[in-house]
Amino acid sequence: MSIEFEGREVAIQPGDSLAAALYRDGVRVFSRSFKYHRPRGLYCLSGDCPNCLVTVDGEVNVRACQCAAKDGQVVSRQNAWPSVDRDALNVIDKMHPLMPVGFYYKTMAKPKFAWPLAEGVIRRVAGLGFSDKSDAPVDIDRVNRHPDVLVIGAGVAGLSAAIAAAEGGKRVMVIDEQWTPGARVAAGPTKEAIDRLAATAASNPGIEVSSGTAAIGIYEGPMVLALAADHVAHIHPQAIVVAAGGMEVHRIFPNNDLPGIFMGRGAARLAGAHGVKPGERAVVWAEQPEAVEHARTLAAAGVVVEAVVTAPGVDASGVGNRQIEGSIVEAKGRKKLSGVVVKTTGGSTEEISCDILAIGSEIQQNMHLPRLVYDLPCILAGDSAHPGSSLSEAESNGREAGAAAAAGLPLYVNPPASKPRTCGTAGYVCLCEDVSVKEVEQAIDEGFESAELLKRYTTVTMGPCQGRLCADQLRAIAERKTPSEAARVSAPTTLRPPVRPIQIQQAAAGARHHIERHTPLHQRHLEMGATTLWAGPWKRIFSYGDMQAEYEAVRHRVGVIDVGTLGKFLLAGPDVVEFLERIYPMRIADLEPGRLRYGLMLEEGGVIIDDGTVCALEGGAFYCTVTTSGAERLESWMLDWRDAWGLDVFVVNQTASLAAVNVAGPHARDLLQKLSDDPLDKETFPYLRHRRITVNGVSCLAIRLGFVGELAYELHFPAAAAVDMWDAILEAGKEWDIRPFGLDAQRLLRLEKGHIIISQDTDFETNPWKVSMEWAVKLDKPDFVGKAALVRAQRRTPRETLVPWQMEPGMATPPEGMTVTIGGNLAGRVTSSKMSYVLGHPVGLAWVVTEHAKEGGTITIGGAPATIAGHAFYDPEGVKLRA
Amino acid sequence: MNARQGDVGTANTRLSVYTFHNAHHKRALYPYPTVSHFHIKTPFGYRPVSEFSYGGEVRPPLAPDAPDEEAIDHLWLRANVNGVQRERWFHTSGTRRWYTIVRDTRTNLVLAQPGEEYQEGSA
Repeated sequence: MSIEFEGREVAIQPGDSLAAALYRDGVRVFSRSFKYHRPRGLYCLSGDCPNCLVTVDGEVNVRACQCAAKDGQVVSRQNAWPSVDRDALNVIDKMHPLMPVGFYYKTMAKPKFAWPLAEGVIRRVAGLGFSDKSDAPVDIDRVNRHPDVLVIGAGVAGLSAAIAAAEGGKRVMVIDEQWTPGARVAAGPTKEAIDRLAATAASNPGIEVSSGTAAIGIYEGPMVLALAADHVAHIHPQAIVVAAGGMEVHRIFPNNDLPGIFMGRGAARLAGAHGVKPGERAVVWAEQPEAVEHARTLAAAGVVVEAVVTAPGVDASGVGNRQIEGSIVEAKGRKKLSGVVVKTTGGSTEEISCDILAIGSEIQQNMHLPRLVYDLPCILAGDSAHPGSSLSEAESNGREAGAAAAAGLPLYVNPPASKPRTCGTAGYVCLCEDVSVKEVEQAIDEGFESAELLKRYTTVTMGPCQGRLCADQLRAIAERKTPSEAARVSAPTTLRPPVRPIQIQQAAAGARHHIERHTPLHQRHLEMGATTLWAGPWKRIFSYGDMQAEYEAVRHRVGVIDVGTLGKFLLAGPDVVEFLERIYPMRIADLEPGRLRYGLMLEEGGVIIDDGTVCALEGGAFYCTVTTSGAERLESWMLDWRDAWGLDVFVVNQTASLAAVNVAGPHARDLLQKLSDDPLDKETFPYLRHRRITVNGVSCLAIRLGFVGELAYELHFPAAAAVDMWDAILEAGKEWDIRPFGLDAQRLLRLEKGHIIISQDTDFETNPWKVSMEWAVKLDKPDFVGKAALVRAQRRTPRETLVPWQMEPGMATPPEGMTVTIGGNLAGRVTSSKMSYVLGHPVGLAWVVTEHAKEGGTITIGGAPATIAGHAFYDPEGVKLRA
Repeated sequence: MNARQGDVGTANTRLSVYTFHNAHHKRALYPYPTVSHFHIKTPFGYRPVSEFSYGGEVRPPLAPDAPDEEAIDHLWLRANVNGVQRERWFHTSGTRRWYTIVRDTRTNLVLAQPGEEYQEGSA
């Protein structure tokens, strides 16, 4: 097995990360730094630093230490010319004095033409890899999970917490960014503890361990966003245990970024978990006891430990050739580490030759996740709660956290404040953005004192590591430079998700997942070859393939359309009439049972937000329909007004429980009479009436309406009967060659009648006056929503009015949205336009400035003349729909 | 526990598990404890705010004979309070009912749940 690395084969072994495989092969410089092109090698091996970002199979900025090596991968390094090993751009590193922090704000501002030129150069020279923009975007799945308890981190504390929570009877999900729990922990007591706990967890059916899944943010809900290999998970637990572990503190001293310098755990991972010998001669800096283990791990891998430099109180006896109490103050070397300078507690300095330095510094919590929790039901455990916990502390602490989570109490935790740090006086604070101590100090001298300003000006903490290495150090420098302002300055910079770098396409995971509502007839429509379109959350039928044939069927014979998407509400209660009188601008009180009325719905500003019908039922209840896209919104809107007025009304949303079809056309009555024994004749059941009739054995509320301008019956009945009803209607209509019709045909049918569609023909400032619907508003009513605004709007002539227009036969139909001009001046726009088959010429609706909106007036639409009509184009007297 | 009690625990107290409400980082520039998330009481218990849609501040109704000035303000202006406000939330993903709460917009702390009385200073 092998990977292709910059044109050559590199052998890989099972369990290798890319970093381990390349290091074994002799690669030492993994990247060039962001600005100065300094050589950088492996440092943390835990995905926390920016040093090992490489391009893998065209994907840029992959952390080599976190990416499993797979046969056939194509890997290359980034941000260097001509190569990472010999990078000519490293010359920039010699130009520090010319490039002070924020230099591009200062030096390229004048003359003005300089910046675009400089920007081009800077963009090529600085930065990370170049992404392949030709790649098609990939839709990544978003998965919702609902465990009782979520444990973040499958270390000793995390697994202990999971086991304790599962013992408390909870369904537990454990996520961990490693391939398997403990995959990258060197052999030793920690590894043994993790293996033991992982085996216990695996045998417990209440625990699901999801490896290779990195938590990248904790949001309100609580909701945890996690990246898995092939999907993004939104996890909605009742309680969260954060056991995200700890890491060593980034130590700052001259040349602290040389290849060959490792974090203690990083060196131990390479040697102990991957079996790759990091170097020949090592110095280990042991600030805490765990680092002595790392020295043993290195020695076991065959590395000569030249010296263990210990902090006071750390016992390293018997490990390494020498033990020195002191600290490292400087690293030596040009392209790689050649030695370190040790300052003993006695005050003397000494240089020790070595090729690797493992810095086992103080353990800090992986602070990012703990700092995101705020008041969410999160419990911290292990190093997240007490950095530097011993194994037994982590285990008992984890069990305690898990038991608390299982108890189901809304436990809230305070993330421990980060400890004050000390910081060296020279070296790199920020590996991501290439910022040294000197540059930060210079920025403070320039007046950028607070940590938040320093961050923005110097970009420290803003790189791929998001401050996990450098945030506390930045704060330490700020405090050191301006001790008087310490309280204000020392506020930690704000940490925000994502905790780990994510791809834009991962951030967009699920963006194209929509709630798609279907009527019960949807499958029937698809079987008939229907095309669909979005209408609010619904998929509605656009056409069954031949719009003109559908249209002709309705005009001349009979057609049927699925209108089950209409919002359908049953309203009842003692105050229902009063309520409807206030909701609708037309009169309701005089509506007798069996009658119905068209109604607009207005918001407080008098703007039309919806329209539909109101049917007065026997017994004082009302049945109201609203438009397809308005149902959800209007339900909450009506309930809000009900509460505001304190009226005793029930609003029952029947949108989903009822199906509805509209049978329309000259033969609609003949057709339905075949399926119903109830009288449907004109005298018993006239236009604008509704009756409860039985059709095909199903009790339906039948409504006689005229949206399409023909004799029509809209049937509302239980959704479960929809498919049988549909089939029966199509079967019964065969003798008139019935056709189902879609929205495309319906839009033409209604346009010929001059009926408007709310939100297609209206906009956010359309009141009833503007669309000549004064008849639908009764201003003499005591009050209704929008009245106050309409009374005032009535005093002025609206600037524009919606008018129907027609063109001469043979002219092309202008597109919707086309501008209207009069005498060469802009005078409005077209909102609807279609070729009328029955009239043989284009018809439509348009906004026209009111002074020209006169019947018979001539307007110009896209260069072609059109005439303003005064009435419906088709059947203006409404004879057909009253048939 | 009173939500405004600040630093009840620090890293130095070696409690194993910290268990208290709404204790936050000290924020030198912003003197209030803030929360990003809260719950609203419904007949089905306290539900997370992510299940609700915001319905705006509670406003007195417009009197039918109000002068134009007042009517225009009512239509187009909101108080946008930096402090305590009564406001409406619709339980979109749940009971599909409206709830009125009293919330401090500076801190997101709910000072009165639906049906509870709010008295100045009671927080």
